[in-house]
This record gives sequence, structure tokens and C-alpha cells, in this order.
Amino acid sequence: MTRAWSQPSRPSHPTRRDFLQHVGLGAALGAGLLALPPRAHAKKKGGTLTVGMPNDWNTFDPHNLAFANFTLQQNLYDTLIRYDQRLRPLPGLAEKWVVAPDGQSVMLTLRKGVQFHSGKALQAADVVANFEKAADKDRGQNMLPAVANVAEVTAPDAGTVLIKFKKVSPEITDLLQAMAIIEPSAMDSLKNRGSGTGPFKFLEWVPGDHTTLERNTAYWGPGSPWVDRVAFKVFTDSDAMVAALQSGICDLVVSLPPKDVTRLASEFNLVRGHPGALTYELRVNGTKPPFDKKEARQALQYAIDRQGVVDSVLFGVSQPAVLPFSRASAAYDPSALQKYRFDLARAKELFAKAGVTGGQAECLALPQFPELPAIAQVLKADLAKIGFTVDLAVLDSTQYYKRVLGGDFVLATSFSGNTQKYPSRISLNSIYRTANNPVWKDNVPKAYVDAVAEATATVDPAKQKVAFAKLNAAILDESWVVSIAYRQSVFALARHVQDYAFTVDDMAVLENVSLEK
Amino acid sequence: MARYVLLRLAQLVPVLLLASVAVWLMIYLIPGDPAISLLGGDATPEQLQRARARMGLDQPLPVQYALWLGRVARGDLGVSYLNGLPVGTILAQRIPVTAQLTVASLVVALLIAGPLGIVSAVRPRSWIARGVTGYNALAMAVPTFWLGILLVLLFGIRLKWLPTSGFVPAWQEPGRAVRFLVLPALTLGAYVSAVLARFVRAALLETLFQDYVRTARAKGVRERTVVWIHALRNALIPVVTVVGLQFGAFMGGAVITEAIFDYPGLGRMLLQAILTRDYTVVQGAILFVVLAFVLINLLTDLVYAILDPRIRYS
Amino acid sequence: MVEPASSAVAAESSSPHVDLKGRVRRAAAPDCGHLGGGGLVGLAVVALLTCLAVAAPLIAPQDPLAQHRADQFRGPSLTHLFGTDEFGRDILSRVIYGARISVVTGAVAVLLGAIVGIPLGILGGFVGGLTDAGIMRLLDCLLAVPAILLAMVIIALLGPGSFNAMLAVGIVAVPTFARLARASTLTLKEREFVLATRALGVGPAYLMFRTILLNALTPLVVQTAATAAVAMLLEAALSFLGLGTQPPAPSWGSMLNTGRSFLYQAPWYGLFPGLVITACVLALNALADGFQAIMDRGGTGAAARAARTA
Repeated sequence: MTRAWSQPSRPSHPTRRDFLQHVGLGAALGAGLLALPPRAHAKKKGGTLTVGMPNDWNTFDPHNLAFANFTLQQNLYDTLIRYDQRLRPLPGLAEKWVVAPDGQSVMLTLRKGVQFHSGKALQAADVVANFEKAADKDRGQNMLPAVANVAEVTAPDAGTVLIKFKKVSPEITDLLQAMAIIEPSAMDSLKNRGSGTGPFKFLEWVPGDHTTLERNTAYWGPGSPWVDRVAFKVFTDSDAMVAALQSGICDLVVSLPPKDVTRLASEFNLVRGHPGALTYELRVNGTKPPFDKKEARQALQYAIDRQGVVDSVLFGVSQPAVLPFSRASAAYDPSALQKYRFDLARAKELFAKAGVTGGQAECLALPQFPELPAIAQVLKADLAKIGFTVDLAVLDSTQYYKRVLGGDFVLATSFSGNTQKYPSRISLNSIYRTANNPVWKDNVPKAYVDAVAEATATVDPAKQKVAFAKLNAAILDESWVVSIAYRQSVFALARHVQDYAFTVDDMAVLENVSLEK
Repeated sequence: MARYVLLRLAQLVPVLLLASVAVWLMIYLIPGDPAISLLGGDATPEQLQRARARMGLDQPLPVQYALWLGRVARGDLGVSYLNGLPVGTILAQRIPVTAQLTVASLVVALLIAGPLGIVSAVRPRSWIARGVTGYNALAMAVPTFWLGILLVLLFGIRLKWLPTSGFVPAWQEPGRAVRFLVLPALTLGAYVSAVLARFVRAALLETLFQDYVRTARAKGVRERTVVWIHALRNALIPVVTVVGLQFGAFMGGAVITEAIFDYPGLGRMLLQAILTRDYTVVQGAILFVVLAFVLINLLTDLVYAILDPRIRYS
Repeated sequence: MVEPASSAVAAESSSPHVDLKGRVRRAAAPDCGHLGGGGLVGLAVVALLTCLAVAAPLIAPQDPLAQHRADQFRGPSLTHLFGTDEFGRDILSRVIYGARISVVTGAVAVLLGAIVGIPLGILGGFVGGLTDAGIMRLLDCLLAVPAILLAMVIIALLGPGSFNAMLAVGIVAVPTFARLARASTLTLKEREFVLATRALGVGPAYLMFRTILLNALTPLVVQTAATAAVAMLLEAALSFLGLGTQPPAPSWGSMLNTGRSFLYQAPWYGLFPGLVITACVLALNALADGFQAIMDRGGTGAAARAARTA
């Protein structure tokens, strides 16, 4: 995808237009953050929107990009810019952004009249403080690698921010879209409360039970929030969450389990997010036998019944994937799906080439996402047919991540994010890191590292395309991550919930929601 | 009597100390890292290391234990690694929830066991008594989690009479709370109801043939009064014992029922804390569970003594 | 869930003869005919269960791990008597193979509980004093934590898996056996035949393990059946919480867990494993009651004779 930095650009990649035609209902309801459909009657103001969440958050820091915290971020905080559904940048807290001709700095003009929840006005110095926090090893959380290319952030005056980069970067808008602005005086207490500029203000948090936000009457947004309050109810059990939706306790549920989609379709508004905000995958340790041979890893590409997984594990609510990139991504390559079909005979051939006969490996899975152990079981059953034994180990999250992050595994089912943004951002996932990689340590396959570097170094669309092709080829050739299927978010809304929207990352946007009952 | 109570309380200390040491030892041995729960799956090893240092986890274990013990002695149970809240506050939020479930379950159990026990004692050879024995055997054999599933399937899904999960505090909305309590209380109370029914029956059978009852009957007091007043008083003792035991056990042991019905109670919190390696919460919770169990046992023994004047503690 | 009220107090049902060498002649072997109707049915079911477990590969109609993904969630039919699960696997075959885990768990729990618990209990009861107090405090500690929590913590230590679940359940069973053995020891310690044996100059080890243990055996045997039942339930509970048997190995508890998440899609999934667990526990409890009946009726003591004529 080309991005002209000084103005919103038009999509040029053909696949994205095709993709948009298939999005259907989701697009209609989520169409653009600012474009609202014309109303037949006046929108109702007031009420409490109850949102069912499958997990609690453990911090109010929007720089912590854990999937669990997504829903909070859009509603408590604002980012510097936003993306619409077509990944076109839109003004957020920054009204204008001008990239210097040499591509090594960007000048932001901040929106006027924005207030933090405490009443303090937003100033450039606050943005600088946020960048400083993101770059701090102790406080940066997941934003730390994202700001690695930032050399310096200054505030020439109260309404302008100048960001200087170390090298030319094609990912500038991705960074601005991910950067949420926290009120600096609240930065020390982010464990228990949050304060930003977002449409809703923090009211209370009862850990493990619920969080309540109230309308920010001073919000700068196009329509000040319609509901009085938002209550996020935490459910550790997704079945209980669905039951709460059905009994009317919750008005809206983020992440409806695939198995309930068909059942609830008639009673509720089911809004599908973007397939591929996350991609399910099999992580392979290329330094441990038998997968230290490339051919053995490539064999796995043919040994996974991707469509079977989509049908029986994901109940059809998804699509198969061979590469991690979503359909909206510039690096999306539909031909890969054709090349890597489910073919156990071919897998056996490749195993033989790698000298593997009747091998054995342990596969880790995380029970919090029941699809992961299920995918592992499918793999196990299919590999058994060609004489390869897979032993499942379902570990709780601390043990699972300890081993996965430490490279102490042979196989592991997992998923990766950042699959919709600029392709090189895939390297923010631990398994795709170009250095300090849990599996390869610092010996990451050269072809991949080079491809990432190439993609990051250029803003010329033609050169980018070449780089992306190399990137895909490298990933498929080395096959230390075997993508399986996209994770499709499904939001379930009661019929009286109107004007729900979501971002490209499938984060819920509640500022326009009204309760028509 | 007072000396007995003091003696029992004194015995509490070594038990608690032993429990706390055991918990600390386990933490040393349980693999896993709370820093990961905090930072998520893409954290770098360096970030994790710094987080561990911030939590004080890089100090030698005996030092950590000593620090913790010192704080507990002052009444400070520490702070959760995950969300930074004081453990005491977390416990205070969860305990009433479990207590509500426990009380409801025991009430349900008594409501079932009382009539069943009485009827089977008064008419020992009838088909009712046989039915009660059958019910007892069944209720003691059915696994709690299966019973929960069956009840959800029948009353929640097929008949749609009752909600299948969720918690409403009884002290805020008693009417609504009852609807949400029926299924979980039945699930948890079924087993106890069988045990209680047996005890009630046995105690009644024993009492019905005692001399003083026969004398009362000979004096012409109505049979009903005989049964209800004298015999029930006697049956109260084992009932109180069982109820006390169960109360202590449920406070921590209702994990499964809490999981099935999504009750934000103590058992589920402990399960979560173990899974995320939230050490301080685990320690605080286990201490509380042990304390509660032992104290409730003591209380039960005292009530026991009040009920039966023949019992004297020295 | 708390263990069933067990026969905690040893009945004084037998007073065996002691010969001049201090050897003990045990009372005549208990008469199995006195198991009673319930007990016999219980025994039969337990035997059937063991057969299922041992002969699973021969009895099960299909491979419990074979996936037929196109046949997901089929209801009970002639080809699949209990229906199929989320991978199209035959639930009946999985239930039959699941018997293996349950039977072994019961056995391991009982063995571990007995081998560790009984000597501890006898030691404490016999020696008394500080040793006894120490052992009792330790047991109190274990007993004060509800079984499921204790098992959860042990699993966190050892890691999940069926073997570790069996160990955890066994450890949980230790205090019960210990307490029972201790109670029996305390009672028997003052009995005449024991005092007599002591007077003969027999050493303490011999006293503990031949004299007392052999005579405390009957209530302990009753306890094994009850413990086996609780062990089975506890293992199922652990698997239900995801801490026991790992997929895809079939365990009744983990099948109930999965069945629960598919209650709408496949209601029978959660039905059959639970039915089987209940039947097994019923059988074991009935067996325990039967043993209890033997204990009350068997033996040669005066109390036993009284029980028989009652």
C-alpha cells in the first residue's frame, strides 16, 4: 500500500477493494469513524451500556497493547491519528501532520481545545512526555519497540510537536495511530486508574468484576458520547458472558466465541471485525531437532488441514491463511493459499527429505484460548497418519509464555498480531523479531532480516512491493511460523444498540453508541 | 471452658505458621513467573527481569518470607502483583460472595434434609424411607460439576426458568439474588443434604426409642410434640457439626460451582491467582481458608457444648 | 466437596488369640456373603469397571483418538451409541478408555494414601507425645485446606497431567488414612491382647506393624472403597478444571469440561461421562457400606456376635 504522507491517500492495492466488498454488514455498521448513516429519528441520549468482556485488564496503561486491554484504550484515551476502515489516516488528537521532505521527521499540529479528564488542557509538552514514557525501559511496555526509531521529540510551541526519526521510516502513520496520549500526572497510577482525553472518563474499577466509565462531557469528538455510562463486566467464562447477553444483562459482547455465532445470529446483531486482526499460527523451533532442518518445517505447511481447522475448530467463522498478513495488508498474497494445500503425502515426502521418519515432538498450547489446544489436536491427529507423534502440553499462561518466550519449546500453537499494518510491523511479535528472537536468538534467517530491513527502508511503493515479496518468500521458505487461519472477531450487539463501530485492530469504539430502548 | 478456648486458639498459631511455610516452599518450587502475567506474551527478557526486580522477586527466598511474615504480623497481607490492590481488599470483596453461596447451599441442604430425615425416621419401613435412602446414595455419588451441568441444561437452557450464571449480592437485591442462587445452591447443597438426611434420620431413630421419650408418651403428651421438640433437639448436634464442617470447607472448596456459575468468589479467585502466579494473593487466601476452617471448627465445638449440657471441655 | 463421613472409629470387633511367641492369630476371614445386596452390586460394578479398563482396546468399538471431522456433533445413533464430539470422535469409545484413568487413579490414590498415611497414623498414635502432636498438626494443616484447593496447588507444583493428578489425589488421601489408623491405634493400644503382647517383651516395631496394624485393618479396608470414590471424583474435578488429564487423552472429567462448553450444540456430550462417574461412585460407596456390614457382623468379638444376632 502506498501512503502519501502529507494527505490521506487512496488505496491502490486491488485486493483491498475486493476485500471490502466481502466485509458486508461489518462495513456498513462500522463504516468510517466519522461517517454516520442518516437517522430516521432523533438519537436517544443516556443510559448505561453494559459491555461483556472475556477477560479483565490489569493495567490502565494504553501503551500495554495486550489484546485484553484493547477495548479500554479507544474509549478512555485518544491516539494522535486514527485510521478509517480502509487504513487511511484521519485526524485524531493531531489535526495536521506534515512529514519533512527527507522523511526523517514529522510535524504535528495538535487539535485546539482538547482537555484531559481532569480538566487540564492538552499541550505539546504532554505529547512529549508520552513519547518519553514510551521510550523508557521501565515504563514503555509494548510501545518501546514501536518508538525505537524515534530520535527526539520536541515541542516548538504549545500546539506543535516535532518528532525526529533516526532513519527514514514508512511506518510513521502506524506509530501515530498506535500512540495513545495519557495525562502525564496520571502516569504513576496507571495500575488502578487511567486519565486521558477520550470520550469516557474513569469512574471505578473492581478488579475481576467490572469497570465503570462515565461520559466525558468536554469531549472534543464529533458527537459527544451518547450514553451516560459504560460498564465493562468481566467474565472469566465465555459461556457465562454469552448467557449474560442472552438474559439482557449485557448489551454488547466483544469476541463472541465462534461456536455461538450460528445460534445467536437471529436474535442479535452480529458484527464481524476484520478477519486477520490476529492470525492463528504454529510456532516451530528451528534450532531443535527434528525441525532444525528446513524441509521438516516446510512439511508442516502441508500437514495442517487449514480448512478443516476453520470448519471444525472455528465453526466456519474465519478463513484459512498461509501467511500472517491479513487481506487488507499490502503484503497479502492470495497465491500462497493455492500453493500450500493440505497434502499429507507431500508432507511425508518433505519429512523424508529431512531425514525424519516416525519422529516425535511436544506441542504447547494455551487453554485460555480454547482454539489453540483444539488446533493442536487436529495437527496431532493428522500427523499421526504419517507416523509423526505430537505430544500435547496444555500449560497455564505463565508457564506457556515462559517457555515460548524463552525458546524452550519444539512446537507451540499461538497467534500473532499487527498483521494489518505495515508489513514489517509483524516483527513486533516475539516470534517474528529480527533480533533477540526467542527461537533464533540473534541468528535470525538472513533472508528474512534483510527483507524486513528492505521493507522498512523505503517509501517507494514499487520497491516496497519487491520487499514484501521477498518477505513472504523468506517466511515461507524458512517456515518457522506456519500460519493457519485468521482470528475473526465477532461482536454481538443487542438490537437496541446503535452505531457501534470498531477500529482496524478490532478495538471497540463506543463514542457514538446509543441505546434505543 | 475459657481455658479450653484459649488452648485451641493457641494451637492455631503453629498450624498457621506451618501453612505459611508450606505455601512459601511451594512458591519456590512452582514453575512460572508473575512478571509474564503482568507484561503479556511479547515482553522481552529484559523487561521481564526488570519487572521481577520491581516486585522484589529477585531476593533470596528466606528474605522474602521474613519480610512477608513481618508484614503479616502487622496485619498487612501485601499487594497483588497483578493489579496492585491490597490483598486484604481483594479478600474482602470475594469473601461475602462465597459466604452468600455457602449459606444458601446449607439452607437448601437443610430444607431438603430436614423433611427427608424426619419422614424416613418416623416411617422407617415405608417406600418413602427407601426412596430417601436411594436419594441419599445418589446425592452422595453425583459429582458436583455434573449436577451443575445438568441443572443448567434443564432449568436454564431447556426450560429457561432460571438464569444460568451470574451473581447478585443478596444484601443489595434480595429478590433477584434468590433467582440467581437457586441453581448454584442446589448444586453445592445436594451432597450435604444427603449427609445431613442420614444424620437426622439416625439421630431421630436413636431418640425415638429413648426412655425419656417413652415416658413422655406414657404421660400422654401428643406424639407430634414428642417427635418435634425432644428428638429434634438431639438431632441438632450432628447437624451443627456437619454444617460447621461444610461451612469451612465451602469457603475455599466451592471452586467448581463458582466456575460453572461464574461466581466471583474466593475459590475462583484462588484458582486464578494460582494460574497467574499472583503469590501474595495465593498466600493471603490460603491463610484465610485455613484460619476460617479452624475457627469455624472451634465455634462448632462450642455450640456443640451449649446444645448438649453433658459435654464439658476441660 | 468434602469426603464422605467415613467410619472413623474402629469397632472393637475382634480379639484375636496371642500365642506364647507373641504371634497373633487373626480372627477367621470375614464372610463375603455378608456383603449384602447393595454391596454385591457394588462389587459387580467395580469388577465390570476394572474389566472395561483392562480390556478397553477389545471392547471399545472405535479408536478414541480417531478424528472424523465431518461427523462433528452427531447425536446418539446406532453407529455412535453416545454420539460424537467436536472432532467427530466416538464418545462411547472415549468413555470406555476413560475408565482406565479412573480405575488407575482410584488405585494409586488408595495405595499412596495407605502406604504413607497408615504408618504415619500408627506411629503417631503409638508413640504419642511430641511426635504425635507434630504429625497431627501437619495433618490438620492438610485437612484444613479443602481437597480441591490442595490438589490444585500440588498440580501447580508438579505440572498438569493424569499421572500428576493421581499423585495429587493420593497426597490428599493421606490425612484420612492417617487419622483413621491413629484412631484405631489409640483404641487398640490399651486393649488387653496388646498389653499382653507387650508384656511378652516384643519390640515396638513388631507391635506396631503386626499386632496393631493387622487388627486395625478392617476399618481401613472400608475406607479404601470410600477413598477410591473420592479419588475418582477429585481426578474428574481436576480434569474438569483443565489441570488433570491432557487432551486428547479421554478422561471423564475433561470430557465433562468440554461437554459443558458445547451444551447447546451437543447436550448428550455432557450427559454420558457424568452418568458413568455417578454409577462408579455409587458402586464404590455401596461396596464401602458392604464392607462396613461385614465389619459389624464378621469377627469373633462379643460386639460382633451381638451385631449378628441383632
